[in-house]
Amino acid sequence: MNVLEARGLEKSFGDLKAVNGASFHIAPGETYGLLGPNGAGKTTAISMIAGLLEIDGGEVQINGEVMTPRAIAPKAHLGLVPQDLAIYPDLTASENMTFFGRLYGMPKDKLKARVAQVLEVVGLTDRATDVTKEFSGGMKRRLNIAIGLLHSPQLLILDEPTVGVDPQSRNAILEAVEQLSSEGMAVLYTTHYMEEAERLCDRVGIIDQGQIKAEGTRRELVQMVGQKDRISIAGNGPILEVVRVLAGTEGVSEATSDENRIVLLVEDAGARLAAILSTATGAGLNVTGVEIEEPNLEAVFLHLTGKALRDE
Amino acid sequence: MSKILTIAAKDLKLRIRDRSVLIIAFLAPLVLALIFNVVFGSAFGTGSEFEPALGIVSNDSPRTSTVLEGIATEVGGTWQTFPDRAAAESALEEGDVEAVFVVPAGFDGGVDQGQGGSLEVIGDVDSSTSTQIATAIAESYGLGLDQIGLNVATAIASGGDPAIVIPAATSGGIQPLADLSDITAGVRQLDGTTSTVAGMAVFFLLFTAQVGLLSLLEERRDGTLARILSTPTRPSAVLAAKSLVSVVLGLASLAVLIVAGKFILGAEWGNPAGVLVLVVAAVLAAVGISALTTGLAKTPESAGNMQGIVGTVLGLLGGVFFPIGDDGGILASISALTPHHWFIRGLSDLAGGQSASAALPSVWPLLTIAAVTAFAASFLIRRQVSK
Repeated sequence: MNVLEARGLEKSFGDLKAVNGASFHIAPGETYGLLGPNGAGKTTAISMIAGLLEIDGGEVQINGEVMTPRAIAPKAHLGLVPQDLAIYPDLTASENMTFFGRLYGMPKDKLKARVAQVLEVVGLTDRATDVTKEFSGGMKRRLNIAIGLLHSPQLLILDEPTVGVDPQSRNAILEAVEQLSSEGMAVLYTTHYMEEAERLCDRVGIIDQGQIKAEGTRRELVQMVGQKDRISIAGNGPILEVVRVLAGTEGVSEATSDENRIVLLVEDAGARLAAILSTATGAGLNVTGVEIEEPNLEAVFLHLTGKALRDE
Repeated sequence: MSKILTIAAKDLKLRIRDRSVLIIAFLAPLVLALIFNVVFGSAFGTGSEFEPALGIVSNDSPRTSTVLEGIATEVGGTWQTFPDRAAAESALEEGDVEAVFVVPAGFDGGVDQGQGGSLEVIGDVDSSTSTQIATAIAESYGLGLDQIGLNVATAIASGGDPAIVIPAATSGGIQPLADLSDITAGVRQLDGTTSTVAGMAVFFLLFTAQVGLLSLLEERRDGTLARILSTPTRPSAVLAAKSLVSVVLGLASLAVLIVAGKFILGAEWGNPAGVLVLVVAAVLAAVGISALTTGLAKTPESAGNMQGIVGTVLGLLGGVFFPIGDDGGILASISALTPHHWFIRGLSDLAGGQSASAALPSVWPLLTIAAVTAFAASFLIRRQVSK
């Protein structure tokens, strides 16, 4: 059974249709990325999934239980890490976590041990008794995530968790998500950072104007829009002859040359690289360097929506 | 229930660390009461019982004169007799007396004939409280006489012999004419110190009571409310916790001020059980009003501003800073809509060793204010949680 089932979600604010028929699901241990620019409807979708917003249309199920703002049972399976910091600056890190742990109904003795454990995971053990208003931005972000992890939820929702975070904290956050996923936690990760989605997500849903435009693994999305890998081979020898031979090789859709460099457009470069290099050397090329460029989600997004992920 | 207590405990911890609530709830009212007491102490007659200086002009009505003198003595006043109205007015101008009863000629004789009657009161404009006391005594006395007159007329109309009915109706002396406790109930006054501390306490109560509920808007602004609501916690539990914090802070504030007022400033509060009931009712009313302003506001800042205006206006109308007359005028009617009025009135009714039940006439209006405002607020404030 999927941990999350979202079917035909709809939400309007006045005339604005923020989410318009979005559907997706997440299996246990899967990290699902909701990729879209600011204003695409990611946070609204998350608010409905977390039971913070009434749903105009469609349905959300967490572990088979229907989620609404008044629902109690499905919320016990859910950990939310909101985009904006949601911690109390006048409480210590430990007090912040203990407070939310009690709201999840965690027993006192178990809660104390779990607080220490999660603080260790996010690297805040030595700051446990400091009030959080004295924390750096990155430390606050890590605590923000730690609260979401505290009760070991089956579904962790991370809404743009790395916005405004320094590179060191960002890397720590990404590593923590990878670890949680490997431990079997289902993760819903929204971001407009393409590289984060590519690194973390097993599947990606591309959302724009409240609609899921496409979803699948990175490779599936790339294939869906016809994007191909690019192999660039540098070398000496009969360049034009080698280009002619490679153009007829299986999987190569286009072969061109530029001085001492041959550029190929290939489906699944990783799988075909060995055969291509063998063909090239067989045709007399002395290979001095190889570069592979895989089409990224930015390109897919541009293709699907006609706009870039980030405005900057 | 445990979640309500968890949220309330967290809020109280934050408020204590924040320290602002300590100033609003405890320090400011106490310091202001102290300052008011020092500055206006002589005007209030600090540390001493209120003693109205009363007098009478009565040439041929010794019975009425005796009754009124007895009442004046009971309320702790001084008593003088004047030969005529001119002498009384002169004494008033000199400040020797604060209010004088003028008994019409032949007053007692009229009473003996079973007629009602009314007394005139002339008073010093600078001693409104004494004049109010004298007026209340005169009105109550007059009502007693009217009742006797009515009884006599009814008896005669039913075939009674006037020669028997009239002496029988008036022979009771003082008691049938007026009940002293009824008369003084309407005019009991807190001494200056107690009145000042009570006024400051109830004035700041409205600000203290908002602290808990205001945090609802603050948490919504800061995103922690959404996080709380993403846990298995009902919105109603959040509202209950915030209200509980307001009630606890309100009770603590009044308790500290009442105890400090007694031991530091020498305030006299009256029957402890009566005061306790009054305090609880006043806190509930203040929390209801705070919930209403919080429900109407969109941001913590606007809620704070709104409460500031509401608290000050209600304080002024409720007689916190200066007395609003009980003479039935429009201001008196408006004043009766404020919790401040009923809290101070209730404490006044408890003054002078009255039993706890003396506070009840003020407790009911306070609870009514609490119920009405809480009912209206419940619709508005639910919207704050679900936004």
